[in-house]
This record gives sequence, C-alpha cells and structure tokens, in this order.
Amino acid sequence: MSLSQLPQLLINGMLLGCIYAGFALGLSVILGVLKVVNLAHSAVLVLATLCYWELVNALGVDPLLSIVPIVVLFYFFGLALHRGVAQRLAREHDSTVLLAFFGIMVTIESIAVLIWTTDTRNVRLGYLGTVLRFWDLNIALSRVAAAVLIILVLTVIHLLLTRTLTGAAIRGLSENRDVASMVGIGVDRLTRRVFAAGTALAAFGGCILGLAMPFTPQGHVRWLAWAFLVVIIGGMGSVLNTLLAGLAIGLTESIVSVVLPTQYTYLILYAILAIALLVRRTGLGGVSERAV
Amino acid sequence: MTRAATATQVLRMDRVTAGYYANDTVLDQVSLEARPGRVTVVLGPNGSGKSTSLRVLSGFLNARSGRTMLGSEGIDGLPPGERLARGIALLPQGRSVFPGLTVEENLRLGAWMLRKSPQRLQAAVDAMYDRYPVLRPLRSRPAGSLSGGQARLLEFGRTLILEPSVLLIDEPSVGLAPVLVDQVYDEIARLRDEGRTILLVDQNVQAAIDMADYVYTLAYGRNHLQGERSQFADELDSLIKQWLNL
Repeated sequence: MSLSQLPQLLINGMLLGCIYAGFALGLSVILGVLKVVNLAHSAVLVLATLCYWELVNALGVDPLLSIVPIVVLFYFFGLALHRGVAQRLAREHDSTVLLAFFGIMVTIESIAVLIWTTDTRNVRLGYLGTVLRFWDLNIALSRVAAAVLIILVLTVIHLLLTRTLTGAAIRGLSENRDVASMVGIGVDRLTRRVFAAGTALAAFGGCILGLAMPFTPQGHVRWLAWAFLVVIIGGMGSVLNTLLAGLAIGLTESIVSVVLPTQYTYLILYAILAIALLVRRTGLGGVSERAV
Repeated sequence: MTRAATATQVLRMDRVTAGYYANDTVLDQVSLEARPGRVTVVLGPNGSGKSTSLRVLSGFLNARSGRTMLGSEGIDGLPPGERLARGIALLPQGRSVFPGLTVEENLRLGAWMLRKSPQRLQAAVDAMYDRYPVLRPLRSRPAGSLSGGQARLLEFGRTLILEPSVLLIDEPSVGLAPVLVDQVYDEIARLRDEGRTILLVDQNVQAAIDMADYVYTLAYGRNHLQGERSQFADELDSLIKQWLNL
C-alpha cells in the first residue's frame, strides 16, 4: 500500500462505517430497549431492500423519496409482527424467543426467494449513480447520500431519546419495566411502538443497503453478523456509540483489505470483537460511561 | 405547602382473595382499611401477604374475588396508571429509581401523567425540588450515582410528584444505613401530618408500631389481629415470639 492511497481508504472506510451503523440501528433499538434478540433483523432488512427495489426500479420512484413509504410500511409491519408473534413471547424463555425469530427469518427469506428468486440485484440509482472526483479521490454519490441520511437519522434518534419525555420513558422502560408502569406509562403500548420503530429502522437500513451495494435475498446473514458486531462493540443505549462502532469496523475493513489478503478481514474484525467483549461486556460505550 | 385538590379518602380492601398463579392463594379473604391523616401499618411474618396486598391495591395484581375501594368508588380492575390518576401511589420495596436516567428525568417520568401540559409538569418537578432541596443541585446527575439516602429521597419525590392522597409504602427502611432510617420515618410522619392516607408495610416492627395509628397483622395470607396502636405496644414482644414460632 502506498501512502497516496490512504485518503481514499479512509473515505471508503468512513462511508462504509456509516452504512454498517445504519444496518445495526434497528437491531440495537430492539435489543437495547426490549432485550429481544431479533434474529429476523437482517431478513426484514433485505425484505425492505426488495420492496425498495420494486419502488425504484419497477415503478420508477425517486430513490431518496422511496425511503419514506418503505419505512412507514415497515412500521406497520413491525406492529403486526409484535402483535402476532413478539407479544406472545413476552413471558417465554430467551431460547424460545431466539428460535421463534429464527423461524421468522427463515420464513421471510423463503418468501423473498419465492417472489424475487436468488438473483443479485442493483437499485437503479439514477442521478445518485455518479462518482464524485476531488483531486485523486473517487467518491460514490450514493454512498455519500446514504452516510448523510444515516447521520441525520442517528442524530434525530439521539435527540429523541435524550431530550424528550417520551425518550426518557423509552430508556426507563429498558431499565425497569415495573417502575415504568408504576408511574403510569402504558408499557405494553410503548413496547409495541418501540418494536415497530426498530422494524422501521431495519427497513431504513434496507434502503441504505439498496443505495450502497448490490444485494440478494439470501445474502443478508452477513449483514446480521455485521449488525451484531456493531451493537456489541458499540454497546447498547447510545446511538452515537453505534456510529463510532460502525466507523471503527468500516475503517478496519477498508484498511485491512488492502494491507492483508481479503480473508484476514474477518479474522481481524472478530479479534476486535473479542477484545471489546473482554474489556467490558456492555461494549465500549460502557467504558466511556464509567469514565464520565 | 402546596397540595393538590385531590380529596383525601379512605382506601379499603374487602375480603380480597388473590394469588400470582391459578392455583395459589397468597391472600385469603383479607380486609384492610386505611384512613386519611393516619398511618395504617400492616405487619406479619415473611410470606404472609403484606406486599401482595399493596400490589392488589396499586393495581399490579387483580383480586380473584373481593373488592377494592377508594372512598365510595370501586377501583377493581383499574390499571396502575388509572389508580395513580385517582391519587393512589406506590413506593415499592428496594431501589426503584431509573439508574441511567438523571435525577430530573426520574422526576419528570414520575409526572408522566401530566405530559400533556408541560407547564404543570415543570411546576410539579419544581415543587419536588422545593420539598427536597438536596435534589436540586443533583438534577443532572444519573440517579445510579446517588447515595442510598439521596436515592430514597428521589424515590419519595417521584412518588409524591402527582400529590397523591393515598400512599402505599413497602418496606421503606430496608437496605438503608441506620442514620437514614430515622429520616425516612420522619418523612412518613410529615406525609401523615399533611393529611394523606398512608398504608405502610414493614418488617421493622418496632419503628412501624411507633408511628402507627392503626395496626393490622396478617398470617398465612389471612387477617390475624387488628386494632389501635395502644393495644399493640404491649403485645409486641409476644407477637414477635408468636411469629417466630409460626
């Protein structure tokens, strides 16, 4: 690697990192607030990507505008998923919940394959398909748009959670459900809405996937692993840490893939994961929290 | 002292039978009554149904049979939030602050029922800082970093922020340093002097009887004894011996 490549690698890594943070958002919310390990996260994400693809490629809707109806649609999908499945599992053992969501993942994936086959697809980016050139740097506009959107959404979520009473209620719900209902918060309704919001955020991640790279209905498991990586390294309960964790992973992947043979990328990332787990079980966020 | 217009009322449960699972009976035909401006104490050995009574009265557990009443109004089946709106608040056993939230956020969540009117909510929070001035400089600290005594005050503040007329208090002194225990009972005396209805469940028998106006004892989920405090002051020793032999 020559030094002149470095700025390009850093930019690639940061954009990729933002995108990874976007993949992890929905998982992080549902795990952090509701303590539910949503194994179906990435299947929902890719289902949203396919719907997004239909909107943009088949119906010709603007790729940025299309994100809105997809996110809204999946909010309602999340409400239904909670009413139909998640709510009934509230008192079940963790492993039962895990298994149920694994089942949902397989179901969604199978339906997606039946409808859309296993082909690799690309969202027709139109005006977002251009590559910006500054000096020696090549930057895909679609990835810049994706990164900007993610940072925007992360900021909004952060403000919602830390500056509003509803945000305090959501954090309270995650800390002590009993006391939350004691002060009069309708915990069942709030739980359903948080689950739906997590599903909508997974769909948002799906739109980001469509913007940023080619995809297949079955390739989502890799993004599930990546999303878990981000959540574990970043810890839960802080969206800004989610962004930092995404950036760390994106930059590592981008730089390692040039310095070392490709297969080492996974090795290094999982080494980082192991270190993060050793340092503190709640992720790096826990460390900075303690330092405050 | 600013007091909301919630009229203080008698809280009553009448021959309530309740349990957590279909085939267990924690409370068997238990009747209790708590009056305004008085401390009513419920005593009994572990597992006699004291905390369960409070859970029924605060709406966390539905009675299988029997009635719960506030004044002349039946409150059976009302969820905790509805009872809070009617002026019944529960101060649960053990730590009940949200540790990751700031002191201010804890208080604001205590006033969650006022969320539609931000001014009243803010006024309620400010009133609690006036009541417990210790909390004011701590407002942006996470509640998890407070000392045991500070956290207990925050719990009182969160419970009182809606100016409830009825307070259900579960084991208020458990886990507190001895110097703080007196402060807790002083605070309960102050709440009584404000005219609130107080139902106190306590393992600290001596302290509870000292401040009680009326005492109930439960055993095996049934009413055992009841009467004015004066009747119990002498019986205390034999009572405790009796429980140990139960």
